Amino acid sequence: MTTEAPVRDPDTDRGERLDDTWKVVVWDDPVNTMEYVVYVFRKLFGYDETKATRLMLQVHNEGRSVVTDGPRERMEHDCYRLHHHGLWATIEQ
Amino acid sequence: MTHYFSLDPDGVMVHFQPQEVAFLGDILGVLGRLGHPDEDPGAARLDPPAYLEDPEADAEWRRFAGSELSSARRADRSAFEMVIEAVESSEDNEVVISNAEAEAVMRVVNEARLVLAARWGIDSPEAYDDIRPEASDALSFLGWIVSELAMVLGGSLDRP
Repeated sequence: MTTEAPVRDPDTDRGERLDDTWKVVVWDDPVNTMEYVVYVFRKLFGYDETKATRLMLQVHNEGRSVVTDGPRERMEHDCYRLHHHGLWATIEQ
Repeated sequence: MTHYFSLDPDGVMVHFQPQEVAFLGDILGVLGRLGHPDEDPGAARLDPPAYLEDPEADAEWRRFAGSELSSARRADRSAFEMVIEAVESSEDNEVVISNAEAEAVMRVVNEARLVLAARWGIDSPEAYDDIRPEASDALSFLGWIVSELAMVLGGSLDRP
């Protein structure tokens, strides 16, 4: 059995470290309905109803929830999709 | 209890009474007359910041997403208008629309609800008690449509 040397990831060399994870946060608002928020989470992120409902309740009860994370560019796209659906979403590290 | 939507093999069956169609037709006027976000809380609500603590990143985000969002919303409103016209011209106030059209209808009704609620100062659940009964009725009606459509479309996600 041989041990391979770590392979350098070109992305890592451009400063996009593997731990450079960004998050999309959805904030509570008193207007979007619970059914609508659950549907949006299911549709946009492919979550099952249980996970989508848990996230919606976290938004409702705690004021915010991290609904997805990943590379910055993808998070900006997800934030755009949430805004298109009228949800109050922000991006943070 | 009124039901406006049901799943159909070809998409979603929509059923509205003529007075409901007339009311829904008016919301396009609401969305078509948005002011500047600095002066119109409804317009500001549709374009919240994406970066809370980084104005530079937020400005960049708006350059990237702003025109895309406007274009997507125009497409939604156009689809919504076609659905309303189709129901209006149908003999039985019913029409079957695609899931994509149903989603556009849902987003437009939700947008109108967000705009009106922001203009009427709805910033907490308790704030609903302080608005005029007609305003409360309008938000309830629009909210009912959004929720029912979300549940019906949610059923389509469960289809194998």
